[in-house]
Amino acid sequence: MKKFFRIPNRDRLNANCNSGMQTGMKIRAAQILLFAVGIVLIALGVLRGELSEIFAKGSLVCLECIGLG
Amino acid sequence: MSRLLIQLGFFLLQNPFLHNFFSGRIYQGELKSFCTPGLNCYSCPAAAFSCPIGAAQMFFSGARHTMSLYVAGFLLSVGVIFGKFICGFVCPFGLLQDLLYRIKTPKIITRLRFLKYVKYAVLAIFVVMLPMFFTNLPWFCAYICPSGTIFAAVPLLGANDFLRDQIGGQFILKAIIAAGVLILSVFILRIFCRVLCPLGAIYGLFNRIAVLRMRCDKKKCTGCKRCNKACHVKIEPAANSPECFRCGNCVKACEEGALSCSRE
Repeated sequence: MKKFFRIPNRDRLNANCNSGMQTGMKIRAAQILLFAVGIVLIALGVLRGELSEIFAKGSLVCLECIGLG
Repeated sequence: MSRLLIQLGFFLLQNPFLHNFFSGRIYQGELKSFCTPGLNCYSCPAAAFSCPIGAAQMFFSGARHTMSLYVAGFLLSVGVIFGKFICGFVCPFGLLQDLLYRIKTPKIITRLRFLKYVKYAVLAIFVVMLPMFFTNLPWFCAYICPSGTIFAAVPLLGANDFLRDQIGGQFILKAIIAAGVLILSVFILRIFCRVLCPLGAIYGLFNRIAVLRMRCDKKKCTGCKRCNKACHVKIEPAANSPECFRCGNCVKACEEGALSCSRE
């Protein structure tokens, strides 16, 4: 498992098979942007009370999910 | 620690109320307000959280809003960090399929050349369009989801006479799909994830840009192709294909240690 989660050092990163340095920076920018958008959406959803709607659905047996509705 | 143990740990984390399997009731506490990253039916008696696909369909199918910003944001932020790592390590239905695939039988190792695109159609049609534009039903949950059938319907119907009396054509259809998925899972690795799962379809889109993704050290790679041979999904491991669910077979097969699933 250690092998699977190994964090590569900077040299290995630069030699990444998938991408060069510039592509790596573009990917990093996309990650930050998408993550920020995700957090904003979560906050907006919470603010407009979506959690209570999810709770209302999830706290009762969903008849559709068990093939009866 | 093996991947199986991590999967079991996440299963228990998402489904801690195991005693409910015997009482035929579901957990009704506050945690149900939040989504879990994996395909974990919220009507599973042991489930502590809500299923993101079920929650999304609830909003699409005519609640107050047409689209859930919370669910969209949740899937976006989880996807961009983990990608399909969620499928490989967190999803309870993935765990069930992996356990079935461990049964010693001849295996069908196939690329599923065209079938792999079905999940995108399932996502667009059954999760979004049908619930949004046609009827107020969560179509994927109601007619397809084998996770709901196995983890929710079977224990609830088994323990509740009243619910059992309501069984009709819809349940039979779902049961046939679930049985088909279970049988095929013995022979084909993660058949449901690769062909039908709308959640996997979403996370797969993030595989190439996710923080946690496959990396290959060119200096160490000898081009022996052992990683390709070890892959039961028949993909190029280092390419971060949307089909890769991070089983780690390629990483184990690489004797040079060139492959890893890591963050930057």
